[in-house]
Amino acid sequence: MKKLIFSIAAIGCFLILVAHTRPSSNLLKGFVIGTPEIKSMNSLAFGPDGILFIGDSKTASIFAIDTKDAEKLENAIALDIKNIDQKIASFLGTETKNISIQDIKVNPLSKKLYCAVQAADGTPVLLIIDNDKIQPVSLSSVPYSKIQLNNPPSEDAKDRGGRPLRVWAISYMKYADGRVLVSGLSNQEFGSTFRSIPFPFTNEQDQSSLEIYHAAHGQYETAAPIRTFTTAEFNGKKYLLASYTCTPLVLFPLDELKPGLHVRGRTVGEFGAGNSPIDMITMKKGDDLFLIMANSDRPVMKIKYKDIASFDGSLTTQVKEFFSIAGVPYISFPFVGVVQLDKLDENQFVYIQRKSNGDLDLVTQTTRFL
Amino acid sequence: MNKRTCRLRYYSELILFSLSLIISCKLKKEDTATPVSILWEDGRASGLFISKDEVPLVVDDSLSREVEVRLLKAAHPTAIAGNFTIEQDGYLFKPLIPFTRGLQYAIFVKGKPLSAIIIPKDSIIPKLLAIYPSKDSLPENLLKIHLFFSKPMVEGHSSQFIKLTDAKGDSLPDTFLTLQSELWNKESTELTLWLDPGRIKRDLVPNKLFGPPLKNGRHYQLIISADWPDQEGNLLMHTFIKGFTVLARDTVSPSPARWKLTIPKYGTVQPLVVDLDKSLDYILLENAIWVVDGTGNSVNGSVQIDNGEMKYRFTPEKPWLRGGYKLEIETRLEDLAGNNLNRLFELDLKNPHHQEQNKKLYEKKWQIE
Repeated sequence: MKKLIFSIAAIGCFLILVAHTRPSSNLLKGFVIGTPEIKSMNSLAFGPDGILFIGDSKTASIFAIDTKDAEKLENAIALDIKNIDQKIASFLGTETKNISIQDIKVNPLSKKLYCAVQAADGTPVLLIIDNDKIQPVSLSSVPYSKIQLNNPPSEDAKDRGGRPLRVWAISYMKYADGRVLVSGLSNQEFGSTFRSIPFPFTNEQDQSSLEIYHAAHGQYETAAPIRTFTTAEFNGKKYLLASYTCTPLVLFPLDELKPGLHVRGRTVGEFGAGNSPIDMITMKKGDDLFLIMANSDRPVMKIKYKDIASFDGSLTTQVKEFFSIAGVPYISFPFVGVVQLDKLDENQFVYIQRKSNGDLDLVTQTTRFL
Repeated sequence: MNKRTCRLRYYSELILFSLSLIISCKLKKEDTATPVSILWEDGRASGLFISKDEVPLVVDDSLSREVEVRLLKAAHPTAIAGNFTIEQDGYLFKPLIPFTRGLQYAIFVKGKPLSAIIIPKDSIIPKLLAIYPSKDSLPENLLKIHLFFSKPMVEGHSSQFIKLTDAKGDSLPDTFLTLQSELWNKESTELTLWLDPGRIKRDLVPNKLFGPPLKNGRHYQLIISADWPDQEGNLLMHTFIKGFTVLARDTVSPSPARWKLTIPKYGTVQPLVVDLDKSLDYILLENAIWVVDGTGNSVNGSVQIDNGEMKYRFTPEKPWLRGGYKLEIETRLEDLAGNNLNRLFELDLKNPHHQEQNKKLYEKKWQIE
């Protein structure tokens, strides 16, 4: 009897383990086992069940990898590593000037920190970083699928091969509600800077190139390269919350982002010129949600969700003073030089910071500052 | 410095000196018996082959535990990430990224240094082949600059090596858009730079505060530093300066209707010559125009662009046949200011006459008799 109970318990444990570690077969539709030919890793994003999206600018493609790293951990151990660039460079057998950290993302299930690094010769490397060690993530013989970011219609027509692939610098990528949202800038035309691609990827190339425009104070309008974005819900409606190279914060209702439609966003904040947003995350403290944004030339900013939700209008008047701000208010954290930022768990966020002495450190902060 | 620190430093220097002696002895041995050799793939040092004679006491099973390859003088000495494979006469270590030229690596067995090797530098100097747009007078709202190099260059640090100066030689900051991932082609030989659209676009805060990056009537110099390294560590060696004068804003879309075609003769491989109405973006000229035959298939051939990106020549691989041909021009084709065939870079929404089209292709037909 004891044996039987033990066996049932063992089978139960196994089933629970399988349920926790394997993505559903629907999600893995179209996946093959092999070694994806990734030429660059410019942007990372996690989907459900440990699926990692890797944005490859050099081939204008997105790869979905089943990392099989899907065991749930509630609370992450804080990561604090001084001179992270030196440690990575030594691990790869080179000097810091020969590597660049392209992106960091925390697996929301396992809470492991994934880091995309590019060597001087262009070789991309994916690493998992914790306080004690750096581990390479093998991309040999892994389950993966791939989608090519659509070329313009004429290039997709028959017998139109032989031209060099466009380069599509992927500035930000996020998985939301069954779609991979991607923003970027090409080495060719100025437009077509935002894509919404259903996942699992299909051969139907059902990806929408969204015509997103940015009107400056209601007069001059251009196609707008979105630098970083997130999705958020305000007053029961889902929005794309995007920031441009010149730091305005703009809202687009997600249900209005449809192919072929000319969509204009509603500017809710101007956070000062001479600055580019880098990363955006959402953190919660108590009942309040906060948008945390890292910037190229300003400290990390905290913006209250409820301030965005209650800002009804669109900024139409111009900011008159140098570097002044308008629209929803924000608070600056005393964290400058933050070049990468992600949520570590419900109570912590992690970032890479260039310190005033030149060091590049990996730092964890808790939500107690919020 | 106190006595204790001084002594510690003395000991550590002694250890380093002894280590370098051991390694240099081994290096000599390596020179004659080549116990460690470099595996080269596509000009990259992608592996180290270690002769079995070099590590006689290591058994195959414990290879990855007992043998390490390390970077000498690493900031954090550690085993380099990579994989060992067992070959016929020895072991092959392939690091995750190729070994860096000019750096010295050591083989450690059971924690002790055994042999070292320097990855030699490549002696071919990279060159800057071209800068586009090639003209020396450019519109105030110029949007893109393309740099073409002879060899793959180091990516991710272009802002250190590119500078725009005014007529007095003063550097102009924040001219180019900073991108986390720079717009290099797959081979790392072509770089596209965007002038900050926020400063070009009228009435945006950066434009209001700082003005456009370039101003009508002024002279500028684009300076490419001689210190820009290629992927093998060789520097450009020569500073490259492109001087140019800025003209008025360009607010007119390109117009293929005004292009003049010089039709080639039947049975020849003479180029089709297209005189454009204005200078257009070099990379889009290469990519957004197709020569299509009467059956709708694109004609294979080569493209040359010259005369300040105002002349487009298409030379077919096979002689021209009699019949109808057409140029298919994708409407995404842009001029130097980002105005494409459908719409201007920026639209003045308060101007009731502003026009915008939504075509995908523009066709220009011609006939070979």
